[in-house]
Amino acid sequence: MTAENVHPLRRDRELVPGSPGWAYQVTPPQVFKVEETRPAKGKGKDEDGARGTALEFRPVLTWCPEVSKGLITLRPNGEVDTWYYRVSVQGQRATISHRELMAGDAWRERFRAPGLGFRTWREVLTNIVLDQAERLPLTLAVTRTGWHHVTDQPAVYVSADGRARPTGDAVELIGATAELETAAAPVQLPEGHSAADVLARVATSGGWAPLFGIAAGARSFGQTIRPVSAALVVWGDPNTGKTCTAVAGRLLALAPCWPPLPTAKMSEDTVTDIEAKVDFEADMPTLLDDLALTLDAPMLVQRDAVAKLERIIRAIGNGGQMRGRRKRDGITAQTQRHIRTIPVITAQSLPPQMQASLFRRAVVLRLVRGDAHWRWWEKVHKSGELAEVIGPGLRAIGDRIISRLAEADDPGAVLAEADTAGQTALSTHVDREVPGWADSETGMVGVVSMAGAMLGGLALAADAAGVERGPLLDAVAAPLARSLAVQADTMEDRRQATDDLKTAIGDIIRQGLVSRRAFLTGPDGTLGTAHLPGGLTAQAAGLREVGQDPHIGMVRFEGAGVAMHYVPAYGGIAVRPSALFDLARASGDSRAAGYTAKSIGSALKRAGALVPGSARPVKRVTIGGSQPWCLVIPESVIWPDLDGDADPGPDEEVPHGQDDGGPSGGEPEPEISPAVREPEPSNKQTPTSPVVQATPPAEFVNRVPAGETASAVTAQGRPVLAAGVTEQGITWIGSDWATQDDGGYDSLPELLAAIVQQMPKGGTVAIDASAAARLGYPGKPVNARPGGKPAAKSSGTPKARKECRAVIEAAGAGWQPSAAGIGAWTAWHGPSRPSVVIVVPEWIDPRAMRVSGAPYLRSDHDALTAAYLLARYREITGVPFVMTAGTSGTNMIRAALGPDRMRTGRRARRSALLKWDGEGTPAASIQERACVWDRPLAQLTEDERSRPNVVGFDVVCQFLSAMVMAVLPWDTLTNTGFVGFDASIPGYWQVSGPWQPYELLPDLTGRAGAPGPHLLSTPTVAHLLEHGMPEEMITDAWLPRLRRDKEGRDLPRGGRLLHGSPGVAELIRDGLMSIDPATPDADEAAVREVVKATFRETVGMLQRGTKFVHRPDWADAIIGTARTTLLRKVAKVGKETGMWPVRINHDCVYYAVDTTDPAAILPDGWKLPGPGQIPKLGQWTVKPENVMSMDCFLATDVHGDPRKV
Amino acid sequence: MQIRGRAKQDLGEAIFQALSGRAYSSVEKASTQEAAKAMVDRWGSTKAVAERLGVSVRTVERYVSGAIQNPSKRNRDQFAAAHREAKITPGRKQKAAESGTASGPDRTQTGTGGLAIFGSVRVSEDERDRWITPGSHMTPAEADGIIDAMVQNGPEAAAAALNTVIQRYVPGMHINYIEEIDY
Repeated sequence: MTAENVHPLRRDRELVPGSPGWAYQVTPPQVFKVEETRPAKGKGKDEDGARGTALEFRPVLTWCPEVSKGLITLRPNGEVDTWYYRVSVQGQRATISHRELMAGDAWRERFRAPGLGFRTWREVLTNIVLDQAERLPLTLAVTRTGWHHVTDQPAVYVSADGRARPTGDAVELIGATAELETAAAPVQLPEGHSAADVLARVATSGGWAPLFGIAAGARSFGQTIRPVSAALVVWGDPNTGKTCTAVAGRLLALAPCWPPLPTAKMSEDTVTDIEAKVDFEADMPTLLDDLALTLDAPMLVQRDAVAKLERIIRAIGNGGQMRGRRKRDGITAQTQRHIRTIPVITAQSLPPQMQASLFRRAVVLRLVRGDAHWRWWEKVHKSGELAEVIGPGLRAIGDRIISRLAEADDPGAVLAEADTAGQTALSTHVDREVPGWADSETGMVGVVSMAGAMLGGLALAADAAGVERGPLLDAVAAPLARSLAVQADTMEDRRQATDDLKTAIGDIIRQGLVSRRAFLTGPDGTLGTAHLPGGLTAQAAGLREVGQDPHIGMVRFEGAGVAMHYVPAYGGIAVRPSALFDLARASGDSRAAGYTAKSIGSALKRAGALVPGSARPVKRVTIGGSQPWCLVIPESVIWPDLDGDADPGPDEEVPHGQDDGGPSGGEPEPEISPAVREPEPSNKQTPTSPVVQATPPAEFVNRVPAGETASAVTAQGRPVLAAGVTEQGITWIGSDWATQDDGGYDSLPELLAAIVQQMPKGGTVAIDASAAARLGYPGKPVNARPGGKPAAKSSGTPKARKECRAVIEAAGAGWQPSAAGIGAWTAWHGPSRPSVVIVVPEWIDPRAMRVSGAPYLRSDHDALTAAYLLARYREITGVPFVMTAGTSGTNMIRAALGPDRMRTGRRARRSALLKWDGEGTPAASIQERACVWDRPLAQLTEDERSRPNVVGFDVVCQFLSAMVMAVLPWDTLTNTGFVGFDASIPGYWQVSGPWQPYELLPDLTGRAGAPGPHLLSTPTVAHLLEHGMPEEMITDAWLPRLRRDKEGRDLPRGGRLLHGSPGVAELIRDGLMSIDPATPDADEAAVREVVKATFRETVGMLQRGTKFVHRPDWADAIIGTARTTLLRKVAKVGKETGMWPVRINHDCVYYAVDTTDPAAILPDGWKLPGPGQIPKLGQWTVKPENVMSMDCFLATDVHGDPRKV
Repeated sequence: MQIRGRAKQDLGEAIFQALSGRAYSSVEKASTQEAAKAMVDRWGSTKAVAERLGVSVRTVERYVSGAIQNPSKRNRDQFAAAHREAKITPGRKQKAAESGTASGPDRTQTGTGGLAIFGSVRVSEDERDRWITPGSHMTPAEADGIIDAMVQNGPEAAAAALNTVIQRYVPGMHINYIEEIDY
C-alpha cells in the first residue's frame, strides 16, 4: 500500500484532516493507520547517501463511512441552522445531524460496525465524514413540511414525501417517518372519476362533520401564509365519528389507512413528543388523536391532559412557540417548536379543568351521532373505494389547493377571500343560534371568526374541485353554528365555575349551610323556619331539630358554625366579613382564595355579589339588639333557583365577570384597634359615676408629690395611665397623681364607659376579684387555656356556654370580651371604641395561663398596687402593659411604626410593614442565634490553665443596644440574587460555608463550623467580610425591593426603625436609666425588671408574632447585630492584646485571669460603670455569678452541666 | 401531665413519667419477675412477650415464675427495653408522638401547642419558673425519636434527644427542674 492509492492525500502527512497519522479510502472501504518507517541500513538511501523515510499504511478498519449528501438547514434570517449528512456504513444508511456526529452519538446509536467501541477510532471516523462532506455540494434541507423560501424564488411547498412543488427544487426533508413518507407519495385519480364527484359524494354521504374536517384540512395548507389562530377540538361519545372527522381532512394530503396515521397520540405521547411531531407537520392537515379521558379519570391523568391541551391550544391561539427552552448555558435558545397548522384534536371528553381561555382559542365540536356518518366511511374503506377513488379524489383537491396557492401572486389574498366566504356563510347561522354573539364579551367573537376561517377551507376545496361553494358552505354552516352555541354555553359555565367569585361565594355559602358549617337565623337572630326565605328547608339553612319547647310546643333548632342572618329589609343575607372569609377558607374553594377578611367584601362588591346601594361593601345591619357591620348578599346569589329560574340571564343587574380575580387591599372593614385609636363618641356610654374627692388609699399617698394634697388631685385635664378598681371605688392613676371615685360599679358597661372617658386611647385596669364579682364576673377564670388543645367534643347536643352577667350586659352595650373568654387578663372590644384590658390580679397564675414571659403582676398584688405598676409601665414606655412584657413591647413597636403612629420626621409618610411572616424567604425559619460557645479544652493554653480564675464580662442590655443599632427593612424581602454586598441593605445573604478566621474564637457565622450554605442576616455578613471572608462566598440574597416616592426618588430600603427621638429602644433605655438597679423599692425593682424584659422578650415576640406585629426578619437582624457587635469587640481585644475568651454565653464573655478585680483585668477600650452609677448601654458589668475558679470552669460547660469527657 | 410529688431534676425521668404515669424508679426497682408480669399484662401472653424479647416461651414463663432471677447478659438490654416499653401507656405514647407540631424550626408552627414544659428554666442570667414550648420546634419524627430513645436506651438517651430540640428552640437554655409536661 502506498500513499498514492489512498484517497485523500493532503497536507503532507495529515491524511485525514484533524487526525494526523490516519488515512482512509472509500473504495474499497478501509481506514488506515499511517506509520513512518525507515529502511534498513544500506537500503533506501538517496543519491546523497542519506536514508529517507517511507509511509506505511496499516489497515485498521475494513470499512469506511461513505457520505452521499451534505445537507444544510437555514434559519429564517438566512443564517446557518445546522448540517445533516447522509452516511452509509456497511450498507446501513442514516441521515445524521451535525450534533449527533460531533457528539459521537451517531457512532454509538445509528450504526453498528466493528471497531466503533474505540473512542479514538470514532473521532477519526467523524473527521472522515467531515472531510467527505466538505467535498460534496451542499443541499438545502428542511425539517418540516409546508411552505419554504428555498431561494429568492417564490415559496415552494414541501410535502411529507420530500417533493418540492411546484418547482421541484432539490430540497431534502429531514425527519419524516417512513410511514408518513409513504402515505404522502403521489397518487392518481382513476379515469372516469373527478374531484368534483368525490367531493359531492362526501358531502352527500359522509356527514357534515367530516366535511368540516376537510374544510379545516384544506385551510391548513395556507396556515403559514395566513394563520388561523385556533385549534379544532372534536369530542363526543364513542362512535360519534370523531376520528373519522379528522381523518377526512387528512385525506387531502395523505393516503387513507386504518387505523389512521396520526400526527401524534394525545394519550400515549409525551408533551415534548407531541411538540416535535406537530412542529414537523406544517401546512398540512393534522390529527392529534385520542385524548382518552373519562370524567372519573384520576386527577393526575386529567392534569396531564390539561397540560397537553394547554401547550397545543395556547400555542396556536397566541401564535408563539410552544415552549421556550434554553440550553444548559442558560443563554442559548434551543430549537423552537411551533404549530404551523390547524391542530385537530379528538377527545372522548374534555377535562373539567380546561380553562375558559382555552375554549376561546379553539373551535370545539361536540359531536353527536349523525354528525359524522362513520358507517359510510367504514363501508367505502372496506370496499376499497376509499383507497382507490375517495382518497385520490381528495388528494387531487389538496394538490390543487397547494398548486393554486403556489401559483398565486398573493396567496394571502386567496386565503383571505376564502376566510371571508366562510365567515359570511357562518355568521348568518350563528346570529340565529347564538343571539348577541357579536357583542358578547365572552370571547365568542374570536371563536366564530376562526370557525368561519376554517369553514373557508371548504371554499378552497370547492374551487379546487370545480363545484359551487354555496351549497357546500351552507351544508356545514348551520350545524356548525349549533355546535358553536353549545361551545358558548360551555365557555360561560367554565368561566362561572372557575373565575366567577359571585357564583363561587353562592356555592360556598350553600355548601356551608348544608354541611352545617354555617346556619341561618331570622332578622332578630332567632333560629327557626318561620323566617327563612321562601322555599328553603331547615336542612338547607344549616338548622337541626333538637326537640320541642316544653312550654309552647314548638320545634327548637340549633345551628353550628358561622351565623348568617336573613334580613329581607336589607335585601338578602347578612354575614360578618371575617366570618364569611373563614367559611370561604374552610371550603377550600380556590375560586375564593387570595382574599383576606378585609378585602373579600370589596371583591364581592366588584363581582356584583352584594346588595348595591352603599359606597362601602359593609352595611350596619340591625340583628336582634346589636348592629354589626355585615356584608349583605342577595338571596339570588346563594339560591339562584329559589324563584324557579336558575339562570340570572343577561338582564341581571350586575353583569358577571367584573372581578379582576385577585386580592386587593380593598376598603378596610371597620376594625377595632386596641389602645391606640382615637375615641369616637359612643351612643351607648352611660354617665360616669360622680367624681367624689376623697383621700387616696394609703399606698398612694406616698406617690403623690409632697406639697400637693390628695384632695386637689383630679383626673380632669391630665392623662390617666391606669386605674385600680375595688369594691369601694375606682382609683385613677396618672404620672404623679392619683384620685379616687368612690362608690364602685355594679355594671361592667358603666365601668368601661368611665374608663374610656378617662383613658380615651384605652388602657389596662386592675380590679379586685370581689369588685369583679360585683360587676357580674364569674367566680374564677373561665377562659380557654392558651396553647391548649380544644376539648374533645361531646357526642350529645352541644351545650352552649352560659355567659356570665358581665358578658351579657357588656354585649348589650356593644362590648365583647376576648375570644377565649373571661380570664385573668381580658380585653374588651367595642365598635368604634378603644380596647380596655381588665386584669384580675388574684387570678394570675403563669403556670395555668401558660405564659412564658417574665411575670410583672402577681397574684399577691392587690388592685391598687397592680394599678400603680401598670401606670409606671405606661409612663415609661408610652403603652399600657398587656399580659407579658413581650406583647407590650410589640405594642410599643406598633405605636411607633404602625399606621396610627406619631407622624413626625422620616416616619411622617411611611409606615413600616409590621406583619409579615417571611413566607417563601429565609425569614420563615430562624436564621440567627445567640452565641453560646465553649473553647475546646484542648485549645486552652498552659498559661490560661495556670490562671486561678475565670471572669465573665457581661454586656449591658445587649439586645437593647442591638435594637438601637439594627437596620431593619421597611418592607418584605424577596429573592434578588447576589449583585454585590451592601451593608446598608437589611436582609439575608446566602454564604457558602463557615468562616473562622481566629482559631480561638467560634465560627463567625454563628453555625459552629457547620458546612454551608448558611442564610445570614446583613450584620453578620458585614462582620464576616470585615474579617476577610471573600465576597465570592456570598451566593444569593433576599433583600427588600427598591421603592420610589412620588417624585421618583429612591426610598431607603431599611433604617434604624427602632431608633428615634424617642424611638422604641430609647424609651426603654431611658426607662431603665431612670431606675437604679439597686433600688430598695420592690415595686420599682419590678418595674425595672419588666422594662428590661420588654426588649428581651420583644425580640422573641417578633419571631413568634402577635396579632398585629410579626417580623421574624427584624428579630434575626437584632440578634445578628447583637452577636456581631460582641464578637467584633472580642476579636479586637484578642488581636491587640492576645487575650482570647475561653467561653461566650449570649452576652457574657469569659476570660482566664489572675485576679477577680474587674478593673484590673478589663480589656482596653471596655468600660465599667463608675461606683454608684447606673450601667449604661455599651458598658460591661461583672456579676458575682460570672466569677468562678479555673477548676470550676474546667469542670462545667457553658450550660453549667458537668463537662463530658 | 403534672409531675406528682417533687419536681423532677432529671429531664429523662420526667419524660418517662410523662409517658408512663409512673416514676422511673418503679422500673429500676422492679424485679425480673415483676417486669415479666408487667410485660405479659401489656402484651397479653407469654408468647407475645417471647416474640418481643427474642426468647422462648418457656424462658418467659420462667421469668414470670421467678425461676430466672436475672436475664442473661445477652438478653439484658432487650429485656430492659421491653420492660420500659411495657410501662409506657399506649395512649400517652401516641399523644407524645403527635406533640411535635413543627416541620423543622419553622416559625409558622410556633404557638400551636405541642410539647410544653413548665419548670425552672435558665437562659443566660434569666432564671425563673416558666412554660417553654419545644414542641413547636419539634417534628413528629423527632418526637418519635425521643420515645424510641426512651424505650431502647433509657431516660438519659431520651433526655439527650429532647435537649437537642431545646437547644434549637433557645440556644443555651437549661432546665433546672420540671414540674409539668404537657403534650
